[in-house]
Order: sequence, then structure tokens, then C-alpha cells
Amino acid sequence: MADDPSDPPDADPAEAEIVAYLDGELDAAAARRVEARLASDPALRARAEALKRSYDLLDFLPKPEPSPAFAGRTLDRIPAVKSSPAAAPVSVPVSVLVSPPSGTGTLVLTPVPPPRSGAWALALMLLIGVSLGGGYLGTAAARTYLFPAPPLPPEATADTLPLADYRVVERLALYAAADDLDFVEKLAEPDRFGDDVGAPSAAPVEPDKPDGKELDALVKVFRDLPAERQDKLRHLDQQLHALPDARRDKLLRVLEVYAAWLQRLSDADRKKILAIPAADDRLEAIDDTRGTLWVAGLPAAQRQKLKALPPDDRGALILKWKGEEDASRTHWNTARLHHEFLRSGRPPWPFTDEAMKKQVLDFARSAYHPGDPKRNRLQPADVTRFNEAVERAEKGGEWAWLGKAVFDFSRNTKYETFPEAGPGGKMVTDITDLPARFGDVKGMRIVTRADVAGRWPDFALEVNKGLAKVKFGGKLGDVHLGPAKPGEFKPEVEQFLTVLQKKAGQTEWATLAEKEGKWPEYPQELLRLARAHDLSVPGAMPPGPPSQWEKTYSLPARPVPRPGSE
Amino acid sequence: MSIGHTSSLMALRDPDIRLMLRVRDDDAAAFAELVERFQHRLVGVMHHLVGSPDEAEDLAQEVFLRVYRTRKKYRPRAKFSTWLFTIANNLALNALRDRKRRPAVPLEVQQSTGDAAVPSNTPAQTRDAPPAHHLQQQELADVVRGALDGLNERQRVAIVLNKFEDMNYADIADVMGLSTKAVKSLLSRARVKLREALSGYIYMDGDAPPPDDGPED
Repeated sequence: MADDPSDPPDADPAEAEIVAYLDGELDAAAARRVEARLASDPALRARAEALKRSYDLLDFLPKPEPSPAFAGRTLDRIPAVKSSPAAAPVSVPVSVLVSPPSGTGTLVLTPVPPPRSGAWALALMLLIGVSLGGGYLGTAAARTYLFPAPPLPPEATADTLPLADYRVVERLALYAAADDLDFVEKLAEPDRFGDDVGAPSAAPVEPDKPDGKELDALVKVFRDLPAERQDKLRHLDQQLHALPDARRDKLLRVLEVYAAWLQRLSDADRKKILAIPAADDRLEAIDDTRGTLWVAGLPAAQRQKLKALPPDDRGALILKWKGEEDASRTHWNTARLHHEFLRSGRPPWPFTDEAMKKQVLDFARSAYHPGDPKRNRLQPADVTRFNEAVERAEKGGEWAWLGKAVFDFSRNTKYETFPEAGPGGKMVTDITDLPARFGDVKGMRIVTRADVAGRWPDFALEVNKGLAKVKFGGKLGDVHLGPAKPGEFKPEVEQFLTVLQKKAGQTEWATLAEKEGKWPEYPQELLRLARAHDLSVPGAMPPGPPSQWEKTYSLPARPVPRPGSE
Repeated sequence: MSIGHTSSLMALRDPDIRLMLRVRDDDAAAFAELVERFQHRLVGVMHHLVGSPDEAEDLAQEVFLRVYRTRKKYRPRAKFSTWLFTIANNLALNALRDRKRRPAVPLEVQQSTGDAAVPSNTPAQTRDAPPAHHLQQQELADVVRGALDGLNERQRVAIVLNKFEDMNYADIADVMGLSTKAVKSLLSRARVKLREALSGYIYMDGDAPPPDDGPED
């Protein structure tokens, strides 16, 4: 290819050799020749040095990063690749409660591969279609809900499908058994399918696309729906895609789990549920069926025990067992998380180096004081959990348990953490820390819980709550419960404030400044702002970006990060 | 879709190729992953080439769209990044040439830093007061940006790929459709030009400047 006319005619060959030498592009003999010339020629050496240094100056250019919306905007421009977060190509198994084939089965939490193939989608469509097409259902509402039999347009194939309907058809198996967004939101309640699916950050729902004949068959099914039902499905699709990415992905997962659950029901149960026209009645039937299946899935001994109880006591026992099941599910998911990392041969983030291990432990110990009976903030069960996690980490190298425990504590509203005071500030952890006029704080029933004394920020929060309740404010003036403006925090937090100021917008910073002097409003706003910029307030949040904690420790277990993502 | 034996081996070695083969086979999640994986590098390179963050993102987006549109033609012959940056090179060169043809659109950086050449009356040029001492990092970045903008388009592409993508001459040659020798010559001229533009800024730590051996070239 010819050189650009704006290029000068030729490069100085000597200079070109030096540049190639500096770039490590010369073979050994040529490199030695250049070195010899440089050694004997100070002027040439100076020019080479200037070449190198001027090139090094390019490091002063800022390192540009794409804006956070870049990937989403790009994917939005691709047909049928609406902005789902980048997917790890690993499918995440979803835990669903499976009813045993016979009455003697045991309660199992079985990882069921999520429905991701076009073949699966078609199978479900046919299953539902056959259920209804076989004349089982008589109601007009149910017919509208699914498949009547109008004359089929002969040309119904994927090629004739308008682009706008493409995504709807691809997800038909998920959408078909749903009414509208409200219904999907109700399905996603934790007691229904919400707890069975991954956290928003788990791999996104992007089912394998149905292809070829399967796609054509789905197109046909879609076209066979009454126009009104088609519109409803389009509308549902649009509503889902107007939601924030994380929410949309969660709801799609719920629909997946719901569809998988429907598929596993007996024909009779499935027909019974799908035939109910009103959404609320159908949800009730779903709850009943799930409850029945859950009890039927209990081990025989448990079922016997339940049977022996008076009906009024059965409910309480079922609730207790369900609670135990939730706990064991958390345990199981953490085990799986740990297993994933074990398999990958490295500890999970943030325990990838010694410094971070120490920082996380320091954070947990200084925020919750599990080892100090006077200042401990954790419930006994959580103290045990923490100590076991530390032991597993330090002795067995199993860090996922500690990461999960710290993550869970940091998300537990009972264990709110606020930055502590530095030399320039004060914090109230006991009655004696309050001004003299608060001497009667106990008598005035401002603090009614004895277990908060000596604990930060629990005592201060309790005083704050008590003051609000008894409407002290005016009389007692400015109560200084904790550090609430720059200059009152520990040095690392002071330093963090300057970092945050650079990142925060002017309005954000002004909102924070308005709360100066007010506790807990100021630290609350500070924490909120830090989270919004994916930063961690030293001592008050687990070290490292909050999004990374979320990504790594949200349940269920996330697959091992893909190569190149760190 | 099957691929040949050699390309299979190549694909096995290079996870990016594996990913692109999934994109080729219409795997939407793979494309999302590809965008996620390469957006930082691509936007970075484009930004260094055109100087404006918005234009860099527009161009990077166009590269991804072109990857998607031409996915069916993808054959795993070379490193995936070489293929990606070939597309990027073509789009960037077009954009830079368009911009030259329409000089009424001012370059963002030129507004703040003036022309690439450092004005001769700035104190930065006096050697007894090493200018870099007094320059804030941002000002220095502006000067360097100006120097980069002083290169012609192809020199700039070669420099950016070499410096920021750490590409060797052979890969740059592939991306730019040149011989390795031509890349060597291109980079050499670019480096000499950068040295000239930045000569007032390279002795930062009180070093003695090199003997003045007269104007170069």
C-alpha cells in the first residue's frame, strides 16, 4: 500500500533503527550494532534518550474509559440483543423444589438446568397447547389466554415475522403463561418463585435462540393467538424491557422458573392452574399447589409427624420447616459458590491477596466486634457463623464462607455501620458520653434497650430514635451523637471524602453538605453517595467496590468469573 | 458450524476467537460479552485517536455494530484483536479524514491547547527553567494531546496501537494493511515528530539537556 501523501518521503534509516531498537523489534545482531553505535556516539545517545522520554510522556494522557451506559447503548442497536449485561457462558442452575414421583420421596433441592433451548421452549408450548387444544378447557377466558384454533396463515415462518415480534416469539415460552407485568411481579414475590431465582447479577436470561423449524413452529403458535393476546404479549415484552436491566433479568428468570415448574406438574395440576381465568385466583391455585407439593415432598417421617398433629398446629410446624429449608438453601448455595472457586483453583474476590484478606477481616472485626463481648453487635448465631467462617478461611483456605458472611452482615439492616469519629469528632456509645443534661436519659425512657450500651452506632441510633419519639429536639438543642461533618472522622475517612468529592456531582455534594452536623443524616447520605459511585467508605463498608461484593456474593452462587473479567 | 483443523487449534488457544465464533453463530449473549470485554480497549484507542470522548464512543459503537453485521464472514485466521482493530482502523481513518475535509468542525483539544507545535513564546521553551516542573499533570496531558494531534492520521494510528495496545510491528502491519517495513518507517517518522513537539517537556528532573546539535531533519 502506498504511503499517505502527507507522510514525509523517508524516515532517517539510523533513526528508524533506534526506534525499532527501543521497541524491541530488532534481531540480536541488529540490536548489538545499534548498541555499539549508541555507546560510541553521545549525540546519538541523547537523541535516542529523547525519543524514549518523549514517548514515555504519552503515559500522561488520561486513560479514557467508556461511559457506564456504553455497552447498553451498543447492544440496544442490535436487533434482538437488547442490553443484557455481558453473560458468562456458563448456565446457572436454578434451585427448584421438586415433587417426588411417589409419596415416599424425600425433600430435595435439586439444581434444575434452566430452560434455555429452543427445543425446550417448543416442548413447553406444545405441552400447554396440547393441554388446551385437546378440548379440556371450555372457558372463553382460558381460550383467549392461550390457543384457540383460527385458520392458520400458510406463510407463517420466521422469515415473514416483523422484526418487532422477533423477541416476543423467542421468549414465547416464557411469556405465554403470564398475563401482564403485574402478574409477573406477583410471581416474583419471594414466597412464590422470587427466592428460587438468582440475584440480579447472576447470568442474565438470554435463552438459546430457537432456530430453524423450532422457530417457525413458535412463529406459527404466536400468529395463531388472537390479536388481542398477541398485543398483550407485545405489551408485556415492552414493559419488561422498559425496566432497569437487573429487574428485567430477575423477572425473566422468574418466568423461566415458573415455566419449568409448570412443565414438571402433572397434566391435571397444570390444566387446573392454566384454566383459571382471573390472575389472582390463578396465583392462589399456584400457592396451593406449591404448598401441597412441598408437604408431599417431605420425608415420610415428617409427613407422619404432621399428620399426627391437630390441624391448627400444622401451619406453625410447616413454617418452621420452611425456615430451616431457607437456611439450608443459603448454606448450600454458599457451598456451591465455594466449590466453584475451589474448582477454579483460586480464592474468591476479594481474598485474592493477603492485604485484602486482612482488610476484610479488619473491617468485620472493627465494624461488628464479634470477639469483644462488651462491644459485640452480632446476634449469637452470627457470631458463631463469623467464627466458623474465619476458621474455614484461615485454616482450610475456604474464603467464600467469610466473604458471604461479611456480605450478608453488611446488607443486614440490624447491623447498620457508620464511620467512627476521629480525633476531631465525638461519638456517643454510652450514657456517660451524653451531655450532663441527658443524665435522666434512662428515666425519660429515651433509651429503653439495655443491650445497646457500649455499642457503636447502636447506642447512638437508639438515642436518636428515642429523642424523636419523645420530641426532645427543641429543648435539648444540638445533640452530638456521632461524626457528621468533615474534620470529625478518622483520617482514612477524611481522605475518602476528598476522593468522593472529585467523583460526585456538584448537586450531590451540595446535598451532602446540607446535612453537615446532623447525625445520622450526614453519614447516611455519605454512604448513599459512596454506593452510588461504587465506592466503599473505609470502616463503614466492606473494602472494595460494592458492586463487586454484590456480583460475587449475591445468591445463588455465581459462576466463576470468566477469564479476562478481572 | 464447523471450522478447519488449523483454525480449530487456533480457536482453542484464543478465548476471544472462541467468543467470536459464538457471535458468528448468533449467540446474543456472546456478543454482549464481546462488547463487555473489548469496550475499554476500543473506546480507549478511539479516544486517543480522535481526542473527543463522545466521538470515540460513537466510533467504538460503530466498530461493534460492524463486527455484528459482518459476523457471518468472520474466519478465525489471525488474532481476534487484530481483526477487531482492522475494522477500528478503517473507521477511525475515515473519521479523521472526514474531519480534515471539514475543518469548520473544530477539534475539541485544539480549542484548549492550540496547535500541536508548542508556541515558541511559551516559557516552556526556555531551558534554564525546565518547564515541566511548573506544569500540572493536566496541562502536560494537553501538551501531549497536542503533539499526538500533530501527527498525520496513519502515524497516529500506528503510535496509538504500538503504545496503548502494545502491538508489535507485524500486528500493526496486519491491522493497517502495510508491510512491516512500512510500519517501521511510519513509526520512526512519528516518533521523531513527537520528540520535536515534546522536546521542551522531556527533561523533568533537573537533568541536563542533551547537547544542542542543531535542528533535526
